[in-house]
Amino acid sequence: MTPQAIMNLLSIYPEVIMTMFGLILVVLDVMTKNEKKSMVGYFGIAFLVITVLIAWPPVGKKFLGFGNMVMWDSYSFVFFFIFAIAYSLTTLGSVSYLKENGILKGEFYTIMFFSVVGMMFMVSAYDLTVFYAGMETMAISMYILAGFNKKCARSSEAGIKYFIIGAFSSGIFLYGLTFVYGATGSMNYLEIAAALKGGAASTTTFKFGLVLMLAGFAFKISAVPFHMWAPDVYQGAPTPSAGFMTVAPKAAAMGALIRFCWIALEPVGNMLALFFGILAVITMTYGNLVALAQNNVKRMLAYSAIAHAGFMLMGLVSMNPEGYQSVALYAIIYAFMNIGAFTLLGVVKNKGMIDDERLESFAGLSKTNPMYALGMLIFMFSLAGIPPLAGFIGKFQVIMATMKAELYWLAIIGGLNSALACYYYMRVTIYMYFKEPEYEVDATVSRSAFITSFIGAVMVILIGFFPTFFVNLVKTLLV
Amino acid sequence: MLTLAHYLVLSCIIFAIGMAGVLVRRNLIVMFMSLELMLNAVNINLAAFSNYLQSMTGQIYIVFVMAVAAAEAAVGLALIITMFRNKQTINADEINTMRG
Repeated sequence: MTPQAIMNLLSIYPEVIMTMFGLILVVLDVMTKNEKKSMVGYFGIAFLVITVLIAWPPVGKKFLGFGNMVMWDSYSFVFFFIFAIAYSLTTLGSVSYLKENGILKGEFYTIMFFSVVGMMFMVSAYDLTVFYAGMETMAISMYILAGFNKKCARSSEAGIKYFIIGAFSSGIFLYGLTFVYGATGSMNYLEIAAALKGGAASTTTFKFGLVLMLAGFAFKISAVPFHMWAPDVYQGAPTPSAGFMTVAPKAAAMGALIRFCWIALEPVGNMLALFFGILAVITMTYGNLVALAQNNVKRMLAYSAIAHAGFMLMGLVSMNPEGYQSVALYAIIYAFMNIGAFTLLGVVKNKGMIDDERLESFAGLSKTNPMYALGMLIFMFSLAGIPPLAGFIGKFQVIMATMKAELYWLAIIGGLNSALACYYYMRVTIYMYFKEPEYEVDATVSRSAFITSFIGAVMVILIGFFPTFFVNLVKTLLV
Repeated sequence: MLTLAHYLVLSCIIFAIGMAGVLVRRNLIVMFMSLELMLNAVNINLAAFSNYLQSMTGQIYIVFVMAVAAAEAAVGLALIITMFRNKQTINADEINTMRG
């Protein structure tokens, strides 16, 4: 083999391995009995662990193959690791929920597995062709996951809404992309950057295309004013898929966006900083303000996901290495705390006539189920960013990165927003600890859900108490 | 003589029709067809730019867009069918139970 062929293979081998494992999962799905479909998910976790070990990155090395189209480096690896965490936690936490709703099917895990492959391609793309293929692999899987509960009208509604809006935003993205292609003459990030340096940046064609492309991106990360789909989809989707959808696709879109901005749009970086700064501010503020008014905890977490997307955007604005390190760290922490919170949310069953996820369901849970209440307390405090827990470390790192980029106004607004967010997270804990129960509520945590939330809570506490280790780990990987 | 501008205007019109269709029409199937129109506008644009720039990338991209559109059609129609089985309607206003 020529060195070029070896380089090509090295640049996509984790994705190739993942695809092969995904196909094996399809076969395993056929072979397992109906009541044991969770085995498919567990095999998926095992395959992910194997792939993570095989793909362990040689730090500092970069494999760029297929005519500069795909890159495998430690940056791609870190994001792959985030998706692996999200997949594993969601799988563990989903079994009992899916079983109770009669939708424990192997497809759930297979589709989620393939969506991880799409996300990997998104983050490791160095070319808009690869990026688009990866993004659609992820998005189409997500439409299915959102509408997975076929018998439930709300789930179908969520699936259809996600599908229409997702396809609509891809259309806008693609339309913008054609103009960027027309102005720069290439789809390759490196060649786009070269063309922009050569003067293509000032053409109207390019600016028009870029605006549409960024609008498409903003849809994917549910940034305000392109967020309308997010609360409905997260509320309607089955709780485990909602947990997965708030974490993994968002991390993937952020990772791909950072790479795109960092490499392809590097010559026009100053222009972007203000755009993303404003987007981050309105996203955070709007997400937090509307979350204040929610009485449904699932919908509240959906709005909080919008606010967290705004926080991650802040890391992008700073356009320095600290910025994207902080985004990666934030995504890891967010994966642990949000999937943990969604797992616990999926456990609650209200025997009264109101929705399971209403705030009233949580009243007095500390007396009937103290362990459950404690777990939820940890996740809520962490999401709010209360100091000794991991959520604080994430927000702190992002704000530090903005300070380093001398964007003090943004850092101040970020700080104010995290204070604002405390209110609605605290409301859940207040209901759990200080209110008398109004309805008969069953919150028995099954074994797999317990393991998930336990891992989540332990990681949240560990990252919170020993931040230096984790911050340095991310820093060494993302030099 | 057809120039690049002609193609761009044509694709712009088709894109606008598609976008208006998604936003205005309430039948899910019609909305879905409008989405396909948007993607077709993208394809015209890509072909035009590809010819203008004398580069193959655009034409290869069209194949990607078409493949993805087909996959999307499969999933989208399946979702519409599950919706119809649940509610006996495919009117976007009637299925909208969650506010927002």
